[in-house]
Amino acid sequence: MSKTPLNLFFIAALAALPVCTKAEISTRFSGFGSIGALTTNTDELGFRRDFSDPSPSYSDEINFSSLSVLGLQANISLHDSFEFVGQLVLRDQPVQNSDTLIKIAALNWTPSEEIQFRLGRFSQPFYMLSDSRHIGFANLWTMPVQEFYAPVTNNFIDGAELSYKLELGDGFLMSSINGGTTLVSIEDSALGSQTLEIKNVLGINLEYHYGDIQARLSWNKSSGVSRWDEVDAAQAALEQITPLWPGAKDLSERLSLDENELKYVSAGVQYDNGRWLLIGEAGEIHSNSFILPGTRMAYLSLGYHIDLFTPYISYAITNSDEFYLESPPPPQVAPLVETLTENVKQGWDQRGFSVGLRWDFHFNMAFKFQWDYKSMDRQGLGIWFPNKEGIYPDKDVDAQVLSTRWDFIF
Amino acid sequence: MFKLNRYLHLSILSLILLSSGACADIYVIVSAGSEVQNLSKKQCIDIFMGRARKFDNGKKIEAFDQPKGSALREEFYTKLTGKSLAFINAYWARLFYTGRVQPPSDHLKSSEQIALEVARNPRAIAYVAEAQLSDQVQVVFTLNGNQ
Repeated sequence: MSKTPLNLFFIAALAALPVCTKAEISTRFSGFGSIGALTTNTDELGFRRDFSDPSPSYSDEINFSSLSVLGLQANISLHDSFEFVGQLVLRDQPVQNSDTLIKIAALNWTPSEEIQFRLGRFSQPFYMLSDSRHIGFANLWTMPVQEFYAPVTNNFIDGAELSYKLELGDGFLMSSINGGTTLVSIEDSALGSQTLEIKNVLGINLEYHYGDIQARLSWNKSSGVSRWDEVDAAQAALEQITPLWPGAKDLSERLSLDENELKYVSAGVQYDNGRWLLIGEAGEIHSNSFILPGTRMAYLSLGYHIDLFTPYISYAITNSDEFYLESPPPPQVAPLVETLTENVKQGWDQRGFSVGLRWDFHFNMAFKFQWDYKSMDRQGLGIWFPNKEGIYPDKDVDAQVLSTRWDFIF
Repeated sequence: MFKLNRYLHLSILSLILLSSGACADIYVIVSAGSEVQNLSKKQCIDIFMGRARKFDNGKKIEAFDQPKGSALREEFYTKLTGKSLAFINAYWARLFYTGRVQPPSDHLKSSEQIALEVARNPRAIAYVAEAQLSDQVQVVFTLNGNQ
């Protein structure tokens, strides 16, 4: 883990302490959690909630880990303008250590109504739910829309954020800029568990709130991904065969994450008048890497509040750039190239339709039930895990997912 | 006989209206010594929905909620925002657990404790029923019972 942001956080905290008296310090402990279960009707692919889910689900299995989570939070308010926030989140993920468990460790400084500055570790808001997707009680569905949020595996940024609020008539505009480093946890069917550090993250976020409407525009750039041993090995093998096949150089560059810059752009809107609920987002990932290909994704959800119940429907779509080779490899190296590229050939070409129900049976608890129908094109199965033998089917696949979840806050 | 019946009808109707409590006002209060005088409905929404962090005098707002499960809490938010308490709780979960904004504090166990806290704390703001009003607090907004 990058130590610099946390060091800055503690330095800032020590600097803030002299301005506080004991009487001004107040502490608040709280938490959130979910217990969920899901199953699918196919053995051809393994369902996963996102790319950090290490426990794929197959038919005749009920998975209790993918949708279960426990979060513990402490808020320590100092003086008028300073606050420490710490949050631990326990969930099923590829690597479990202090780096991946601590989701927030930040000092908030709010010198005025308009300005807030954060230093340390906090969630990066580059999609509408990217900073709240673990908090089941806050969201409509049993899980964030898979077609949109599957690639979102970075849970925090270690750095700084400056936000500014501007009153605009009866609404307000919140703009923020953040930068730092982040960790991404990935569970890859062929390459195993991996935590990658991304050194250079920059994000700009605009949110407009007016009455029952919230709209958001986000832009995010990442570069400087840490080395991935398995990718390094593949690149070394491709370097060996470059004299035989010049296309190996291009393939090697496109397998790399550290040599490619990633950009995320998204727009979202939410309308909730207490009766009708509409949530929609559209986004694009710009990338030259086959590991995380350029992708377009969108979803739209519609719900209707009836007393304590909110039935909803949702439609989502994702489509990534297709894998290609600049030129076909010669026969003597074709088998090696096939082995090296077998799993990165799977892009993301998927459509999902969901029907669900949220029941707020208690002021601090909700129960949800959701049925999903997923339709995936051949060579577009990459959001899912392959079958238990590690093989992706060479055809289009349709599958259903049933999920349920009990969410609570305390 | 006719007049007695009419008075009887009016008395029964009054008793029904008074006992239902459905028309009781809710009062947003600050300390009697606070510089805050009057607030609009929008300002109250901004305060209790976390969109306003400081009063106009630059002092940090310390908002207090009625205890969890309180009927007054549900009635206040429903009338103030037009939204259900479930919506309000999910809204606050999204804001609070991203570590950016704190919701009103709900650790005080009764309206009486809340009124005492507001009376002693110049930065406090809360909402109470008529029974908790005193000369130690001032009303800055009234949520009418028929809203």
